[in-house]
Amino acid sequence: MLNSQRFQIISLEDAQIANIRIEAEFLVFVESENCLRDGFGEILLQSLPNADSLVLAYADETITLANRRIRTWKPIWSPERLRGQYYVGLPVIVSKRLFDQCGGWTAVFGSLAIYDLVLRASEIAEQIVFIPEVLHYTNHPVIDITSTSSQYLDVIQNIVQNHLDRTEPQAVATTTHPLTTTVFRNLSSKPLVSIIIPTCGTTARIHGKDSVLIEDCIKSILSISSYDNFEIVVVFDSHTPQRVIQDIAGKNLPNIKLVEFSRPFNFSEKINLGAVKSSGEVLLLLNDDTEIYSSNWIEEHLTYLEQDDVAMVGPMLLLADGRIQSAGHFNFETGAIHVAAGHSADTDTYDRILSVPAERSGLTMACTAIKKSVFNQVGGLCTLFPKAFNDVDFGNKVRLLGYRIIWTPRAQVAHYESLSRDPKTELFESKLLLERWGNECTSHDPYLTGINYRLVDVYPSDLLETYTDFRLFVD
Amino acid sequence: MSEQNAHVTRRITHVEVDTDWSDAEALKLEVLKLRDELIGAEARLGQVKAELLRTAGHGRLKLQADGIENHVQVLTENKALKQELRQLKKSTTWRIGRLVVRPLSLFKKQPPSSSSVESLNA
Repeated sequence: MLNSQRFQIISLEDAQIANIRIEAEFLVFVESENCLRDGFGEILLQSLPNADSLVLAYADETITLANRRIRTWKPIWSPERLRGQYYVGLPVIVSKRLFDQCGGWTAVFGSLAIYDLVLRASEIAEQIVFIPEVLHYTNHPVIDITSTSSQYLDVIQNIVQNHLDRTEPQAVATTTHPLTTTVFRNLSSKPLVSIIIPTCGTTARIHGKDSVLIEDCIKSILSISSYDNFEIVVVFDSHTPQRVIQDIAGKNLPNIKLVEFSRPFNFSEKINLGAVKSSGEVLLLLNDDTEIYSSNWIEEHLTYLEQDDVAMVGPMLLLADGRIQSAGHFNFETGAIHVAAGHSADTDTYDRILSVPAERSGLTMACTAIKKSVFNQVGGLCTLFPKAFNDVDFGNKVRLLGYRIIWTPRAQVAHYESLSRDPKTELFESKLLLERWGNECTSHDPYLTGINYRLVDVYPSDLLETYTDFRLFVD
Repeated sequence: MSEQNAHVTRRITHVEVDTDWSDAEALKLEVLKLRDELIGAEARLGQVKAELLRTAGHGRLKLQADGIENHVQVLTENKALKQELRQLKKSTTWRIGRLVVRPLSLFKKQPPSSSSVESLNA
């Protein structure tokens, strides 16, 4: 072992065979001692807080695949994604105090014991730091994605299940791939959900027949949803055809509020009005050009909202032909783009981000569940964005206040995108977005960083040198 | 409420149709707007801070670049002057001049006499 006063470097192999005697302020877990970048100590000194606190840290690394060194592009701290897949890799840096308090090394998990250590450390850590610098080079990533033996998957599942037993005793983990563990949770309460649907009564051709979007949308909610504690708040423009309003009212549907909006079109104002008129603890914003595919869609959203720091949850949105419309937003080059848009729903990215519920920087408002308390806290949707970018702005506001946003593939909703209105964006909206969030929108995405996640089959090797640090400039 | 939908409201009894914003609701909407403006201002402030940091960074870089450029220029000038000096010292004029002033320099190098020191101290 190579030791210094502050850092004690420990290879995973050494950790396996010997009890770790701590001789420094921080333990640095690596594949082997020569895997660390020159000058890593200086970078760690600059990046890490005082060793007296309970500190967990990780950094980027490169992995050699087919003679090419590929950068890993890890996200900032993403606890939901970590339950679904071990994205942290190496190096892992743990302060002595945290290592002692979380119970140290558990050799029984073999080479995957580092996953167990990171989960246990994260449960009590006071600070979790991501260092966006390549500090580690390896030929053997911690997770062997080629290993599909049931024994290997069982170890991963046990690690995650142990974590859940400590943190969410009702939750159950199921691992189906080295990078895909699904967590099943039961709701601890059944809050009233207000489904807010803005409409102007558009008729459009879907699946070869003309249909009134709002009517089909409501029909879909009522016929499919297994959750029963909800109200529907339909915010209709004054010019909505009278027949449409009569039809909705005439169906004798329970828990429906019809709210008239008599001002010029402004999506944000309509949503805010719906929110003010609603009674639920949770708002579920839904476009009228949507159709529900998953019976448990409301429950799936609510399970994540039970975590205190989660404010928003969104589903997998699919186009009419089954391709992906949006798997959440990510910042790329000059703005927010839909993840994997236009790709087949059964494909995935190299890091399987379409298979696990995980943090996102934003979600489309076509279908999003939001805690009403947070909606009020951030001032609802910004009415200065009448048509576009109100969702990007809202996501940034939510994250500015320190909340997480989760996207889940386990709820699926069809979104016949912009069938109900003109999808064209206005220049003043783009300008305003850049005024508010220019630095945010033109930086790498904090959760899906480094590569163009609109593509599903891309490796990040071409972007090895283009990383710019991500910062939110907030006091 | 628009005229078009006015009669609909009267006929609907089992579905609540809201057409007016109460004072409380109007106030809630106003509060939302104010909060949004506040966060928007905070976000803009973040942009300005980021821009300032970037500008400051560029400023520092420019100063460093200017410094390096000046340093290189000084070194070049220094080298040229040294070369010029070497050439000058090799020249016939310089050598003759040195021979001429040599006796004078020897005289100048002589230490002052002790009497003169004493007189100065007095």
